[in-house]
Amino acid sequence: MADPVHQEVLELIPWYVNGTLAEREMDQVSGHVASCAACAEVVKQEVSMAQLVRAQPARLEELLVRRDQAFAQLQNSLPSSSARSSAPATRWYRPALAASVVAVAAISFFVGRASLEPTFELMTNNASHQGYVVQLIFHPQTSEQDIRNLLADGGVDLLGSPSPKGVYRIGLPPNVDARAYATRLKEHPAVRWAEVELR
Amino acid sequence: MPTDQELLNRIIARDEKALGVLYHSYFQRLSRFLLRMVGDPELTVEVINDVFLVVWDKAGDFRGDSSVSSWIIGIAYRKALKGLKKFRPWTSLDAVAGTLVAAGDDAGPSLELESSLARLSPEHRAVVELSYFFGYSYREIGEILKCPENTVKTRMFHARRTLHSILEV
Repeated sequence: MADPVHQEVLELIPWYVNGTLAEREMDQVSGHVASCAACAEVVKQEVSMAQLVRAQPARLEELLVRRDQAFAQLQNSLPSSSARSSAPATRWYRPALAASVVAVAAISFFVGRASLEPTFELMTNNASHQGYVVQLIFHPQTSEQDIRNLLADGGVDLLGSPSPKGVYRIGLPPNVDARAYATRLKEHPAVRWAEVELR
Repeated sequence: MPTDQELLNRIIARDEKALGVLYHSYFQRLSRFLLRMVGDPELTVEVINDVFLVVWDKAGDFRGDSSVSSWIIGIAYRKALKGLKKFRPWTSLDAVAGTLVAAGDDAGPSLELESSLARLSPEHRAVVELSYFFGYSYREIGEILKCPENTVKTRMFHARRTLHSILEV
């Protein structure tokens, strides 16, 4: 769409939807939308998107109940407090340390499995693949056998080790409809979630 | 109820009670924003506390060029980016993996959105959240993210395109 007015309006639509445009811009957008079916449709889509985004993120409730405890931790680390918690620079090590322990366990899981290609890439999972990649998570109760059976199916390539949080990456053969494949995977009883990785 | 500026003035005078009032008043907003930015509840709490350490140290530097809320959310944004650089998820799905396993099987639509947002870059996620949840104008978002207004519009345009292609909304 080469029309600069059209492009300008398209870019302003989110703030037309949230009602924060200046008066001049508001008039510009509403005037254009009244005569452009395509932009009117975009407005409808953005209203739906805004409603989706405003939904409460999962796990917010579990955070809110920790508010008082979190503030107490903050108070302990204020320079005026005599009981400091661990210095901020070391805080990031805890998840990284946990990740390394899980990564080692994950590598051990794959060593000696004849039907799966062993991989010893530690700490990263950026194995490349020419075609589409699907990320998936299994239900916690899924057996190792079920995982191997599913991953041995249909010529897919397991890319690297699962992440510390249990996310697997599988490379699809060429000419496979990636979105349809991910949808089918999500319907598998062992799979909690599957989605196509963005390139 | 004291205003945010009044609380900041008391924080400059080392009033911990005022810090507590400001903290409690911002905790939900920042939890929501940071949960979407970093995806992990533990990390979210750590970043919130890092933000308020900055508020405690730098309250005197606030000049009133923006609102107090814009200032605090801007600090949260930069702390989140720093945190993500130090502890980058292995995959985009890692950001919501805990949520996916913990949630029930009928939590589909909200999980679709969460995993879709997780596939955006942090910069794009921030613009979407600041526009549609916090209701900021693109000018205010530029102040918060310390980037030009055109960059805000471009990021939002690309974020929308990606989300629509994933969600087919």
